[in-house]
Amino acid sequence: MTTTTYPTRTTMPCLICETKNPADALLCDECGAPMALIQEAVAQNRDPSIVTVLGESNVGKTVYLGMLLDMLSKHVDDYEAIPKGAYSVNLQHTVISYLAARQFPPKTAVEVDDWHWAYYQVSHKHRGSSIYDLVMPDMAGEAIAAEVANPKTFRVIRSLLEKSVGAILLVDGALAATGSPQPDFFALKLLSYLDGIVARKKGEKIKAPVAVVLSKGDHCPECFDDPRGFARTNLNRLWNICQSRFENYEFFATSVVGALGYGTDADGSVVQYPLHTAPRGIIEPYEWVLSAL
Amino acid sequence: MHVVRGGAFDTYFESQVTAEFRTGQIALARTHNTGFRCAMDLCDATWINGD
Repeated sequence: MTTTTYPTRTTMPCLICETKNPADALLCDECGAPMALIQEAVAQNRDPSIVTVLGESNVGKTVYLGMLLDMLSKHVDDYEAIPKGAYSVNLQHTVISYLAARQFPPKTAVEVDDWHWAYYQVSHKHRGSSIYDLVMPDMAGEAIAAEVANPKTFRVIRSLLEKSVGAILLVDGALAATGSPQPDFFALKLLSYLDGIVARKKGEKIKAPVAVVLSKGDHCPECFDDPRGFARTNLNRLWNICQSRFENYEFFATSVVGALGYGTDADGSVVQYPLHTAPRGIIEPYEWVLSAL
Repeated sequence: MHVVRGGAFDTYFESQVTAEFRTGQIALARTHNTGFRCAMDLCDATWINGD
């Protein structure tokens, strides 16, 4: 990977879309990404690797990402993760605080300036001295859906995907297990969109690693036994596009919540509560993406 | 839904791993982290074998 030397003048390029912004700007004028990202990249003097977590609304992106960052911070599986900037900790802080109180975190806002961005320096104690600077935004599923349906609605998503070295695609395994075609179609749309952005030459397969993660595995324990088999059976369209357009992909299953309880809120709407937290399969997809970089 | 008492090997939060902690599972749930431990050998359960 080449290292870019960033100018230390009155303007700075956005790390995501490369639009020049005033050096003291908090957010990029063009795409809304925090300018703190580029300031950290300048301090590191090396390009960070962007790993994007994708998925439709309500699939569990925020909970997965928050739990992943917390586990990395706690040195699970001998990983070490150091947040670069206090803003990076906000996502993990929010998710863990809510789960500990047996609640789910609020839905991620559609507005880009309300998204959480996490910039971590990750290394592994026993696997050489490789250090990865990882930028992982927590994007709203509705924004992803809008961008996929009408490209350039959320320019930041397109710019992010163009810059990403790998992606984690979350697919609702519980919904797929009930026979619903919705997760399959959304994943198909998303990978087709990704194919359109990333593919360099016609017919050439995409080399960037894509981990397809079946979320809410506590509702469909069978997806842990054989994630590939589960995808082939229940997410056949997704399975086919992976085979034909992606060179480097793998299927995983994950769950964060051990058991769900149901209640009603003040409006009488049904609300889900995480009765206890027992993460499973959180690190594995991430570890695989890192190993494939 | 049935009550599950205590935490398991993979419970994430310390506050949820104590013996007093209560969670739940649907009656037919089969999970890798819910089980029971026998507090007595079968041969000591005299009311079962009629001794």
